[in-house]
Amino acid sequence: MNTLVFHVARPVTLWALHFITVYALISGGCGPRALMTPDMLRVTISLVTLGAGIIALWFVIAAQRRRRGDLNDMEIALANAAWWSAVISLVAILFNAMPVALLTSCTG
Amino acid sequence: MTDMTPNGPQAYDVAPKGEPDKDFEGIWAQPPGLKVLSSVSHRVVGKRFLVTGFIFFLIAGVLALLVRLQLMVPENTFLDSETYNQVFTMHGTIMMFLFAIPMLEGFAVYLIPLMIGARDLVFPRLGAFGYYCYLFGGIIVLSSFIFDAAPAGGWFMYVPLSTSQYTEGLSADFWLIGITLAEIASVTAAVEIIASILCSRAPGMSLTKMPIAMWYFLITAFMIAVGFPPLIIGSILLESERLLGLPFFDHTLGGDPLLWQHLFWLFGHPEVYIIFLPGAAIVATMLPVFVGKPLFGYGFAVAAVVTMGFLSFGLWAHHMFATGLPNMSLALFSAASTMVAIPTGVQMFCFIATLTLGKPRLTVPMHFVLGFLFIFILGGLTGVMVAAVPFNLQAHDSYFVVAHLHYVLIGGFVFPMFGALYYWAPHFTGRMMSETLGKWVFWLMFGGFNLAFFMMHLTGLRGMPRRVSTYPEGIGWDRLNMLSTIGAFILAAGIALFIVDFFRHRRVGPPAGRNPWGAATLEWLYPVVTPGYNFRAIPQIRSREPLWDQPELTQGDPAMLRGALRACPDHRRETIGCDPVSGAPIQIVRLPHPTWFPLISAFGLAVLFTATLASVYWICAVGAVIALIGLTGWAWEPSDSGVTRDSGLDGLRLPVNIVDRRSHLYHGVAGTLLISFALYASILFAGLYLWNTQPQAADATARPDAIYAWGALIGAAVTALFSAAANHSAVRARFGQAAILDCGLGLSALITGAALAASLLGVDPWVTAFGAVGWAMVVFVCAYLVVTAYWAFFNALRKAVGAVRPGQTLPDFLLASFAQAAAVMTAGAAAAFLVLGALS
Repeated sequence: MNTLVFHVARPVTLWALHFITVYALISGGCGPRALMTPDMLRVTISLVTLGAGIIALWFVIAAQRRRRGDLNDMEIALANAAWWSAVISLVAILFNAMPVALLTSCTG
Repeated sequence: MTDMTPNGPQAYDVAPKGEPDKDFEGIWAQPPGLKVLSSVSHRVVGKRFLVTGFIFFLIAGVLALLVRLQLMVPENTFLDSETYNQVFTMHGTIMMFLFAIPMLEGFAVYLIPLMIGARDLVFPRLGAFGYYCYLFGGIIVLSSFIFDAAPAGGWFMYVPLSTSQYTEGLSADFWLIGITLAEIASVTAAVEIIASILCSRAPGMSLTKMPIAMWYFLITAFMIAVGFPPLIIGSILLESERLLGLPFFDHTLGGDPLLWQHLFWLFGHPEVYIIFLPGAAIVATMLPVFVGKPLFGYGFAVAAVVTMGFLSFGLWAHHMFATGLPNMSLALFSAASTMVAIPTGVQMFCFIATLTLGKPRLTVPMHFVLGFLFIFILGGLTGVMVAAVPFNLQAHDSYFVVAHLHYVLIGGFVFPMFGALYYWAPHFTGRMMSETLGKWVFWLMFGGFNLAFFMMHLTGLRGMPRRVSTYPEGIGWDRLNMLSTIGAFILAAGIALFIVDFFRHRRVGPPAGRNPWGAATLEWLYPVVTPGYNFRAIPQIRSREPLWDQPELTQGDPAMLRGALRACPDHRRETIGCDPVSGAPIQIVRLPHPTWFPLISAFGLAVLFTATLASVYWICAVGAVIALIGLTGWAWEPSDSGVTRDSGLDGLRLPVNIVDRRSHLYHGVAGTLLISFALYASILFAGLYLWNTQPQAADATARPDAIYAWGALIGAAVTALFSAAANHSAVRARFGQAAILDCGLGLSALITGAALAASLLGVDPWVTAFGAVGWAMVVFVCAYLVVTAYWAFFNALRKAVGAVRPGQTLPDFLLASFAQAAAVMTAGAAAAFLVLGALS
């Protein structure tokens, strides 16, 4: 059951790391210091999102397999929670990439 | 980890602090007369939070009515603009800080032990201490009215309006100092809730057998632990700017007013969910009772709560859409704000699906549940609207936002809260409140609320801005405002009727009997006129709905049930400690008896804070000494560890106050460190933010001295080594050696702090905001190093006077964790200074 608890928390932790990374990149790229060009910013965010998205997708698939495994009633509740957590986190990670999907520069 | 086998060495035969002249009931009885102020029982403290919070709710409600009276007609002169500003500021401040959070803490403190099968929270003194901090902080904030210095800058205290330049006098200081003191209650409650839920559940209550409300409270506590620190740091920085002239938010010296907004909303937006989640917890508890079926989708709800807890931290800047952030940032926060609707929606669908499982009983609490669903969903939908940047820019700072936030907060917390008061009233008084009056209360509140606040959507869409004290007639706002005012008074009539009903039922309400609602959770195990204790013996739990699925619990006298800790050989308050995940019993948790130390400590802090407000610094020192004496007396007590006792569970012997990572105290320290790192991260964020947004001032700031920074880095490593070595020696019962190592640890921590401070001696904090943030970091880290040193010398002294016996090494174990965290913070700060030096 310890593992299942961990599996509930890890997708959203991945989302949090991804969010912080995207926020930091935008702040650095679009702030007065302009630490990178808008194109480089978009490429970097896209690559980071691709990586995080693949991991999140793997979480979804792994959680789906686990739900179908040999679990008791109580473990099923956590397995369901882990699957939902992974799905929500995957969608949320894709949402984090919205800025580069919609905008070509810091000002739009 | 100590060797704690059942046949291992025993540190004592007769338990310290036991009360052998008292039987079980006597041990748990509340102290009589004025001594009740020394009570640490969760029931007493929980009720205090609820009563005090409700009084603040009424005060803030009266202020709201004054606001509505002023806005009832155009060109009104009922309140002048300055008084109006004070009234709406205090309304928001009291509602958010002195009502909503303390009320949820009250419910948590009162209900958690009863629902998880514990006899009390694991840190009862911390709960009492938090309550007194909240009470004193609330009194400070409220007393501003007496001195005609009520804050008038809005509940968010935006800078530069709240700086000394634009807000002279003490009004902003009352807010900053009073609220910071009251917030201590929030963070202490967070630690207590986390440790209690994870470590003191009844035997067999695994995480998945916990009532769903416990997941809500657990996540809420984690959110408080991470969400409140940015505001605490922001408040301290702003007060430092007002008191000492440090330029954190002064644009002319490289500060940034938007930094305050970031810190405030990093707290402020999660705060909305911190308030909503306990409301949802209440709904998720009551709804199944009145439907007669378990909650639909327990696992889905758990996932939704956990994800919501995380996602809610990615939304803060949607309160800042109109501040000129880059469009890319707006898109990021808009997306995250939209995204949070998904876990919220999952919970709503769980509730609605539960409703379809049976035929709901339309009791008064159920009315409030349905009211919650209706109002909160409307608030959520307008939330999605304001998450969209173009709409937000139109609606920003208009009455549309006022309508939205009241739909979310009143729908999400106030309606469930009134439902909860009706639902759990028998617990407090032994009697049922009136169904007839209760329905009147509901319909008055529901009708009045919707009349008052639905109209505000329209006034907002017609362009009426927030926080204006009056408005011209004939521009389409007159009638809507009149209707809003009428609605507000109808809502107030509902609340007044509730008060009448509450006092009426105490005299003439029908006796509640046992489990009057037919609930499934453990707080209804005993008759509602309860004894002083929670559980005579702590029952084994096999189901998520124990009172529905375990017939042995509901048949016969609950005090005669089989279970853990029926015997009370040491005449001490104690409860079962469990494995955080599986719920298997692993220890006996000794609990404190009534004590004055929490009150003394909180009083000392209140003196310190009040004297700071009055700028009488010698009294500050007196307050600090009183607080230190209180906290030292609190900690200076014989250890309970080092023995095993029969748990009453089929001959299972368990260690008392186990010494390893499963200990409740270790969880308490871990929770404290979570808060500490959130505080640390807030200062780090401030530094990075100013470095990024104010590059000229940041680059012009003098660089730290690299040699001293290296010294601090090495000192951090030495401090960590000393802490590990001291713990290692203590575990092996080499107490003399451990005491010497403790002294080494203390000295090392002090020298390390001095080195870190020396590295910034060349940086003038009054010249640039960036330099001031550097000093804020140093002061923060040094505070942790000083605490480490004090704790280390304290531990050494205890060993020197023979107060420690083999197996009693929890203080060393906990200090090692704390000291290592302080070392990490020091190393992080020193490394940042070195990097800055290298960049120049």
